[in-house]
Amino acid sequence: MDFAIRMTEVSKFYGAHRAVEGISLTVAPGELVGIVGPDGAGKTTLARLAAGVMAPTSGRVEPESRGRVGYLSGRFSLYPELTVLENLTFFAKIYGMGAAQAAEASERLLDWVGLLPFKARLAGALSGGMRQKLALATAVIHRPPTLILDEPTTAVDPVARVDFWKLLREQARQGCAVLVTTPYMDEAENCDRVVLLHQGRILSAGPAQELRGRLPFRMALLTPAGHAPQRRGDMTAAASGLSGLHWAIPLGAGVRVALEPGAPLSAPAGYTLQEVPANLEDAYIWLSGAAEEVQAG
Amino acid sequence: MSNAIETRDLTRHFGQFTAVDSVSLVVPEGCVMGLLGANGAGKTTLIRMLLGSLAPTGGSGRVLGHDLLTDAESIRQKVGYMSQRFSLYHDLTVEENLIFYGKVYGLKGIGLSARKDELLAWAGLGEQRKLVTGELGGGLRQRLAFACAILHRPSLLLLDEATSGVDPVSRRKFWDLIYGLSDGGTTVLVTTHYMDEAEHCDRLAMMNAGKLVAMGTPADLRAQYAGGGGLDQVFVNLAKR
Repeated sequence: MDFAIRMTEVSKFYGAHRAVEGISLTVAPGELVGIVGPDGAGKTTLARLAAGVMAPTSGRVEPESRGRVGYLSGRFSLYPELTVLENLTFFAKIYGMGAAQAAEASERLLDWVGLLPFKARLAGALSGGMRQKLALATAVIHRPPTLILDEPTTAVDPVARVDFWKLLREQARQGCAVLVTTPYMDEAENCDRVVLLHQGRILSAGPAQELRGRLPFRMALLTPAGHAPQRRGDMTAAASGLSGLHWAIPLGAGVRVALEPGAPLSAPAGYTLQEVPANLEDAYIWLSGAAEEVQAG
Repeated sequence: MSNAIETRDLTRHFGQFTAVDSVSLVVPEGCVMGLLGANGAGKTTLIRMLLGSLAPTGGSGRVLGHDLLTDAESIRQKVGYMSQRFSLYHDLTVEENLIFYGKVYGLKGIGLSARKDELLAWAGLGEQRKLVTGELGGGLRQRLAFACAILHRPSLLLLDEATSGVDPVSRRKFWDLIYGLSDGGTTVLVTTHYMDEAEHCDRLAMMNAGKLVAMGTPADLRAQYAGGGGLDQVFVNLAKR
């Protein structure tokens, strides 16, 4: 298989602490791959290893040609006292472009990320979402065939996040291999393939739809009928009486439950029980073996 | 049931700029209220006014029974706050962090010691009490920060982007603690950019350009603004207006 990044049995230890272990992963040109897991799962270590900014304790990371990787860490280094345009031309020159070429590339990328109207604004005065887009532009100004982003959308609002993911998709469509980490399961739906990371190991990998399909339960939402306010303790108690229940997670409006596939969707008196589509978090709870602990609360 | 927060046309200008524009908000006591909005929508300014740390330039309101304009000091004494970058001392033990913050809130002696033990049990941190905080996993650290934020038994609690990023088990435990406080009458304001967190709230208030543009249960908002689609879609649709 043609690949832009290939990691084979890669492990990284900090002293006795295992950050990641036994990671085998490839990303093909044109593919958008998401590494998803909670804080502490090893996402940042994996991104650094893939970008070649850190060497593994064991295993192999290919290719070795590092100059051609775009890498965006959680803390972008933009220059707040330079303008948007100056930030870009600065990075263009670092990558060895001449003045004319740097100016052309900067304008083109600002247009692409939608920041052309703000090119004279100081980077320090940008909103979070705009800053992220500018950082993305700086990371791809040298047209890298591989782009690695570590939690690029943390603390970015949903509207700006939708825009940002569109830009990542466009990069992939142009043939770039894109690897993104995120702690948010819902974001992973934007990826061609999702790698669920759990305590430093790959729990499962595949298209989001396929991962959701591995959940052997039907998900449903138990909500009080009508609009009568309900004590949460009562709602949880009602959920625990459902037949074929595997776990129940209280939400604001009701309780999200995982039921045996053959279990009836019959709600106790005063409640409605409605089947809902499974999401990646449900799959994660099941695949990580956390179901019992989640149920215990 | 009385209301923890009631505002009428609450407004805040900064020079020519209107950060919060005529917000009328009602939050019943014990409610878990999610406050959503893009960066710059005015959430932080609204919250600072509700917590009594910023004076409104227009409108009126009562928080926990105190007038926002004339009695902000009484409000400040009854609120708790936890942010995304919760400031724990990583080189202190779990117990020492609680003692330190307890003293900040003016607790001392046997009262402090009893409250500390109570919160260690409440947060499920009894076994970790002697551990150095820097060695705790993300979920446990989050619960410790939460315990520190409620040492003084606040009636109104603000969780500012504090609920995300942990594993599903830790998240379940964290929300159980929030719901427990809410059932006991504490009003909780939650800000988040993540819609699966917003699903945990009883009610949501959506802000855009300083105005309150929608309010209701997550299910109501989905039905009204996204044709039953996800909250992300609600957010995008409302922000476009």
